[in-house]
Amino acid sequence: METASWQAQLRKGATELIILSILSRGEAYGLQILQAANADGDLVTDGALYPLLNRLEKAGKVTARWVMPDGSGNPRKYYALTDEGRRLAAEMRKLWVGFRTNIAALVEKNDA
Amino acid sequence: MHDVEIGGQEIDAYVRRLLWALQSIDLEDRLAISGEIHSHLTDCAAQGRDRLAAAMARLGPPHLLARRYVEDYELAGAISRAVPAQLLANMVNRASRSLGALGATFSALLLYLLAAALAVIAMAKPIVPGHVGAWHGSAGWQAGLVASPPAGGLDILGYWIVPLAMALALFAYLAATQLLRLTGGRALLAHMGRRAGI
Repeated sequence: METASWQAQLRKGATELIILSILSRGEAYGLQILQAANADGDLVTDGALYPLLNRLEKAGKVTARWVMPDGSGNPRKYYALTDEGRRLAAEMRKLWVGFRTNIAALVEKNDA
Repeated sequence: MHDVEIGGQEIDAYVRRLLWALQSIDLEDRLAISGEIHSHLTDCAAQGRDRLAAAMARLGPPHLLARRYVEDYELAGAISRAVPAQLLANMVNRASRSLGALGATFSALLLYLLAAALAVIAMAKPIVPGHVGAWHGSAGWQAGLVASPPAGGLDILGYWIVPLAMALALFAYLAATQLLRLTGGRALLAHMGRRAGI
């Protein structure tokens, strides 16, 4: 029970980096982002994704456009990184790598 | 009734409640948010009723999902509507914890002081015209509100100093306020990030 709350905090902390990293690969809409984020484990919830995308859009980190499919398909809102978003993603990735290395070294040392 | 129809009704009901809970947000944004959630649930419903139910559970109740959006808009609105005194007080509070906030606060204070000094110059010219001006003489340049104007100096601007000083005062005031809003906006984003655990 105690680790569930800690794990939720870990996921929350990584959500923005996950979304920016997925969008670094190219334009995507909400469900595509969710599927990519959760392909190897439950990392991002639907309820966390959309308000965060909205916030990133308002902050100028991503741009969005509606795509209306031909016929009676479902309209989808596609997101893409702005230059500012790309810079932020690169900066966050660098910080993440350093953080992960430090934590891994510490945890593994304790395990040994 | 078909699963597709039932799913459609559930989606419509969810989005209707979401729209209602988003009332404090601009209509355009409200429609964009609800449209996106509708699209998401429709895509999920296409994968089956279980997937739709799971998506709704993961979105959370409509009023709680709306609350996440509304809180962000309220904070953003608070920054854009805040008067300079509130912004300055907020930034002074942050200045002790952030070098950027300290620099922005100091710069904004200087700009506000400059705006005030320029406004005083503009207002003083009609009252004490001989003591306000921009003089050029043998001793070089001297400008502003002075106790003793330079002897033999020529007042280059005359009464033109009034609109010029007012325009510069307005520019300095707007620049200071904009600086506080920009820095305050960054602080807001940082606050949002912390609140989201980012």
